[in-house]
Amino acid sequence: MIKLTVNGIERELEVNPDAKLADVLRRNLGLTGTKIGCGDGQCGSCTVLLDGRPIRACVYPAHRAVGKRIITVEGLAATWGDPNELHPLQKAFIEHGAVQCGFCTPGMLMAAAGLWKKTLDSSPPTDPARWAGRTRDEIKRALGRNACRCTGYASLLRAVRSAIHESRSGEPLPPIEIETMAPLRVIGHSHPRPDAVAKVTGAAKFADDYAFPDMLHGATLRAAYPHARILSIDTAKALALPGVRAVLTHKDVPGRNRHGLVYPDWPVLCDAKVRYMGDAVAVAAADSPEIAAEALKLIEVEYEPLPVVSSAEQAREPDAPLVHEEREGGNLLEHIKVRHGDIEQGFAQAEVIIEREYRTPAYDHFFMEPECSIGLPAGYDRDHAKLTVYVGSQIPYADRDQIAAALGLPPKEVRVIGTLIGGGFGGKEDIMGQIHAALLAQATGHPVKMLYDRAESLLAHPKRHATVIRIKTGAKKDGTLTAVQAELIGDAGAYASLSTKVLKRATTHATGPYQVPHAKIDCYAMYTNNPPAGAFRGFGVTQSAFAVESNMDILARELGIDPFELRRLNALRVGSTTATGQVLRESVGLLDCLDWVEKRIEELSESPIPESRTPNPHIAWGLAAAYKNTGFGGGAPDAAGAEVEVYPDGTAEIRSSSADLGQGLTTIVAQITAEELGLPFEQVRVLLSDTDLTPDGGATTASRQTFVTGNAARLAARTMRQRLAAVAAGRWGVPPETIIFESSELVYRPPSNSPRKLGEGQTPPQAGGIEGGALSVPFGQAVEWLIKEGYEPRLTHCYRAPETSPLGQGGDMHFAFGYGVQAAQVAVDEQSGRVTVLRIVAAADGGRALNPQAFLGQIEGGLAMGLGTALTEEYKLEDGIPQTRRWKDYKTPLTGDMPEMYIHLAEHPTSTGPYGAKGIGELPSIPTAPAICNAIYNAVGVRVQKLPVKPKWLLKEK
Amino acid sequence: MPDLKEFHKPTDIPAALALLKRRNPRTIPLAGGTWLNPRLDKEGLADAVVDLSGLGLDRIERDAGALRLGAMATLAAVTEDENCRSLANGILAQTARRDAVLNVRNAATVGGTVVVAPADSEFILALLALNARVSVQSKKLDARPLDQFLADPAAALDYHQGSSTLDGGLVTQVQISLPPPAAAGLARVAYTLSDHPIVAAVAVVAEGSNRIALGGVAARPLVIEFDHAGAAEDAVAQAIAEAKAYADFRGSADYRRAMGILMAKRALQQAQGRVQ
Repeated sequence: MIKLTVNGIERELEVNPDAKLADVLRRNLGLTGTKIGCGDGQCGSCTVLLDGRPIRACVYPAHRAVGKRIITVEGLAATWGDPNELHPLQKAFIEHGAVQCGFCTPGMLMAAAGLWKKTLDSSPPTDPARWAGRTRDEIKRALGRNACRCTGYASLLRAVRSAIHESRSGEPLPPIEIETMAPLRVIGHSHPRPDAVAKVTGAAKFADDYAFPDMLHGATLRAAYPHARILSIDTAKALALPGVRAVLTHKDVPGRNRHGLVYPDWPVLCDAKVRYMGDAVAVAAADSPEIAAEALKLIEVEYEPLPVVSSAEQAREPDAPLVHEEREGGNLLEHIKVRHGDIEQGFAQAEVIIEREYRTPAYDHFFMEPECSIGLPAGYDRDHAKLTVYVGSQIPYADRDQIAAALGLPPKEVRVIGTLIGGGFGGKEDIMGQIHAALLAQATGHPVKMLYDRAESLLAHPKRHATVIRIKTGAKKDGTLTAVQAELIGDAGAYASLSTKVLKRATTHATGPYQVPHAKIDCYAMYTNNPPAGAFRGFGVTQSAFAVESNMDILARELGIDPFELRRLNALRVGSTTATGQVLRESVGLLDCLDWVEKRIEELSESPIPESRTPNPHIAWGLAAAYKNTGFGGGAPDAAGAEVEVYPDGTAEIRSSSADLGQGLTTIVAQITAEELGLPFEQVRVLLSDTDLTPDGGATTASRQTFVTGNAARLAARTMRQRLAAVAAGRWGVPPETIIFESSELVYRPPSNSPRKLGEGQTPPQAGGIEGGALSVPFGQAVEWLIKEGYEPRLTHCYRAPETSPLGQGGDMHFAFGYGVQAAQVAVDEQSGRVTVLRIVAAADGGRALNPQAFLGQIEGGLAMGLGTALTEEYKLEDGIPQTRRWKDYKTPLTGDMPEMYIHLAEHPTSTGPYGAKGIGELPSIPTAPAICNAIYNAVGVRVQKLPVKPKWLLKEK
Repeated sequence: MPDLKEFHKPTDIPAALALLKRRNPRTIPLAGGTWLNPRLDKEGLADAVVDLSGLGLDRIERDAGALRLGAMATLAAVTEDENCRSLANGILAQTARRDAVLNVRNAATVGGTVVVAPADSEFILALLALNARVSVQSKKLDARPLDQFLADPAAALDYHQGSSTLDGGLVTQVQISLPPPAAAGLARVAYTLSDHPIVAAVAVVAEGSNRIALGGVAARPLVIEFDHAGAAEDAVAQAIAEAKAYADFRGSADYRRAMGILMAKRALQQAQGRVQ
C-alpha cells in the first residue's frame, strides 16, 4: 500500500512493486490525460510534474513517488488559480493552434509547465531582447525530446512563448498572421478545434482511455519467422494458466479468415503459413495484460521455416520463393502502366537525357498513439446491444464490414465507435486489433482491450513502400521536357493492403507537376516477406517526387538553366494535359507557388543565415515542386455522407463517419455547418465515426475529407437551411430565397421601396420583428416551427464527388490536385557529412484555406515529416526481420531539428470543393526531401540517390 | 503477474548493501530508473529492487581538493549546479544537458549513468576527460578511475547475469580532482542537432596533462592522454588504430574512425581556443 499525492489529493493505493507512475495514474486513478506513447521514457507523452519538476512517468517507479507532489495535466489549471479556468499554457496551446491530434499535448504542456515555473521564478529581464532569445532556446530545450508528429513544433513553440510573454506583460502574443483570401462569416477564420479544451485538460479520450467493467486484456502471438509453414499450434498450456479466459487460433474464426481493404489476402489468424514477422498466429484474453502476455509464452507453435523474400527486387527473380503460392503471377501483385504519347518520339526529340536510379526505404508513420481496440460482446449492456468495437480508425465503416466478415455476421450486427485518434498518417487504415478484440469479446462474453505497445505497433502495421525507381528524363536544350520513362519497383510486403492504390499514385505522378508530352511508366508491386506496405501520407507520390525532382535538378544543371526557370517553363497550368491525359481546367497554383518561393528566398538573402553549429559549413538552397491528387480518383466512386440536426435551443449537430486524425476535420465541418446555417461556430457540435449514428464518410485518406465530407456537410446544412427558410417564409408570406441566416437568426428584410404586407391567411411574425418592416426569428424558434409543421429537424446528404476515369482511359483521373513548391537551405559539414536544415520556404495551393491556422499546421507538420524522410527516418529490415524495434530505433525530427519556416498559402479555389477548398493533408510533406537533397548537391556536389541521407554515406561520396 | 516482487527503500548504506548481496531473490539497485525501468517488465531482470534515493547520495559538493557528485544527484542537478556550470567551461553541465532532456534529467542520475555507461553518453566522455574517479562502497570505500571502472567487466553491473552489486559494492559518488583543467571542448557528429551522437569527443587541456575522451569509435570510450597539443594527432590516431572496430547502421567502422580523428581535433581546438 502506498500513498501518493496527486493534484493535491492524497490517495492510498495497492500497487505492484514494479508499477510505473504512468500506469498507476492511468489504471488506478483514471487520470488518462497522461499518455503512453513509447513506454521507454523516450517520447515524453507521459510527462508529469513531480515536486514541480517534469519527469517521464512511464519509467518512474510509483513507489518512489511516495511523499512527492504529483501534478498531471488534469491538475495543471489548479496550479495557476481557478481549476475551472484554463492555465495560460493551455489557453495558448488552443489559441496558437498547437493542438492537433492531442496525444502528445499533455506531455508537451507538462514539459512546458516545468519551464514555466522556472521562468516565473527567475528574475525579471533587464534586457528584453536577450531575455526573449534565451527563453526561445529554453523552450526548445524544455520541449527537447518530447516528440510530436503532427505540428512540426512551430505552433508549440509559439504557444509556450506566448504564455510566458503573458506571464511577464499580462498580454499573450497574438497568433501568427496568415495572409489569405477574404474570409466569409465563419469560413476562412482560424476557429479553434472544438475538442481543443478536452485535449489540453486531459479529458479527451483515446481508445486506451476507455475502460469497462469486467474488461479483459488481449494479447497477440506474432510469427516467429518472416516466412514459414505452420505445422501445428497447441494452446492447451496457455488455456490452463489461471486468469486466462480464451486462446483463439484460425480454427476459432467463424467467418472469413482474411481481411484486406482491396484484396482480402491477410489472415485474421494465420493458418497454413506466416508471411511476415508481424503476422498474428493466436490471440489470448486474460484478467490482466501481464497474464495475457504470459499466456502467449505457453502457446506452442511448430514451424517449418521457408526461404525469405526480403526485397521487391528479389521477389522479381524467376526462382524467387513464392509468398502466396496460390496466386497466379507469382509474387507480382500488380503491374501498373502509364502510357502517354509516343515515348520513342519523345526521346528522339530530346537533346539532353538524364537517367538515374533512386532508392527509398520503408518508413513508419510513427503516430504518437499506438493502436488500441476494445471489443464489447453483443448484449453487453443497454448501450451495447450489438457487438461493438471502440477504435481510433481511419475508416470506421470498412472496419465494421471487415469485422463482420470475419465473425460471420451481417455488417448491421456490428457497431464501430470511433474514438479520438492520436495520429494516423495512413497507418490506421488497415485492420490491426479490431477483429481480434471482437473475436475475443464474443468468445469470452467480456469486453476485451487489445492495446499494442510501441514494439508491437512497429512490428505489425503497414509501412511506406520501399521503392527502386529508375527514371529517364528527356528535354530540349531550351529546357522543354519531351519525355519521361520510368520503372518503379515497390515492396508491397506480405499482404496487398493498399499497395495497388498507393503505387498507382506513385506511377501516375511520376512525371511530376509538369507538362510531359510523352511518358511511359511501369510499376511493379511485389509481394515480399516484409511488413505489408500501405497508405502513408503522400500515398506513393513521396517516392516518385524524390526521383522526379532530383532528375529535374540534374537537368537544370546540365542545361545551365535556373531550377526555378526550368520548372516554370514546364509547370502544369490551366489548360495543361497530365501524363494520364487529364486536361486541367482550373485551380492550378503551381506557378504562383514558384514565384512566391523565389521571391521569398531573395528577401531572405538580406537576413542573417541561421546558426548551423557546423564548423565551416557549406550552405546552399535546393528546390523541389510537387502535386498531389485530392480524392480516390481513377474511376473509384468517391462519396461521403453527412447528417445535420438542428435543435430548438439554437444549436446544430453535424455527423459523419469520417475520421479526424488531428488534421482538423472536426473544425472544418463545424465551420461549414455554422456558415451555412448562420450560426456562431460554437453552436455547432460534431459527432464523428459511429457506424450506428453517423453516415459513412469513407476513408480518411487521399487528402479527401475537407473536399468530400466538407461538401456533404455543406449540402446537408444547406438543405436544412432551405427547409428552415421555407417554413419561415411560409409563416411570413415572403419568398424563401429572401430569408437570410445571420447571427443565430433567420431574417427577412424587405426591399426599401416595397413595404411588405401580409396576405390573407399568412401568419404574422411571432418573434423579433425589426425595424423597417423587416422580420426575424431566432434560429431555435425557427427549428420549433419546423418541428411543429411536421418536418424532421434532421437530414442526411450523401455527396458524390465528380466522376473520374480509370487509369488508361484518359479524361479526369482526379477531380482536383494540390500543388506545392519548397526550397530548403542546408548547411553541410563537409568533413563529417552532417546536414543541418536551416530554413524552408514553402508555398502550397490546397485551394481555399477554410481554417488558415489548421491549414498552416498541416504544412508545418508536413515539413517536419518531410525532413525526417530526407535525413533521419528509416524502418530497417534484414532478411525480413525488423531491426527497428522500439522508439529509440527510429528518429523522427524533434524541436531542435526544425528549421526556420516561411510559409505561403497560395489559394487557388476549385469550383467543386466546398468554398473552393481542395485538400492539404499530404502535399506539404512531399517536396521537402527532394528540396533538401537538391540543396545538399548545391552545397557539396553530392547527388543523393538513396534516402535517408546518412552522414557516413555523404562523406564517402564526397 | 509482475516480475518484480519487492521494492525496498533503505535509509542507510549498510542496509542497502545487505539487501543487494542477496542472490535469491535477485536484487538490484535502482538509481534514476530511466534505463532500468523499461527493461524490468520486458526482460525480467530482477525479483527485487533497492531504491537508492533514501541514502542521501544526491549532493554535489566542492572543497579544495575535489568536486564530488553524489551518485544519486540527478543530471538536472548537474546542469543547475554552479560548480558544474563553471568548471572547465561548464563541460559537465553541457554534456549532462546533451545526454537527456529535462524530464529525463530530472530522474536520471550520475551514478546510474556511470554504471549503465550508455555508448552515446557525452556526460561519460566529460567525466573521462576530467579523469573522474568513482567511489564504490562495499566493506570498505574504494575509489578508482572511471576508465578503469568502465574497463573492468567484473565491476560493471551485469543485470543479465543477475549480479546485483558492483564487485560487492555500490557506487556512492563520482569525484573530479581540483584544480580544474584550464579548458574543455566538445565536438560531435549526429544525424541532426537533437540526435544522440554517432561519434563525440571531449578534450580537456591542463598544465602538463591533456586528455581526450572519444565515444562512438569503439564499444567503450577511448581515453587518450598526451603531454602537449602537438602530440595529440598521433596519440589519437594510434588509439583509434589499436581499438577494436565498432560499427552499426548509423556509422561504419571506417566512418567512425575518421570521425574519431576529426572530432578529437575539433574538441581539442575548441578547448585550446578557450584557454585564457
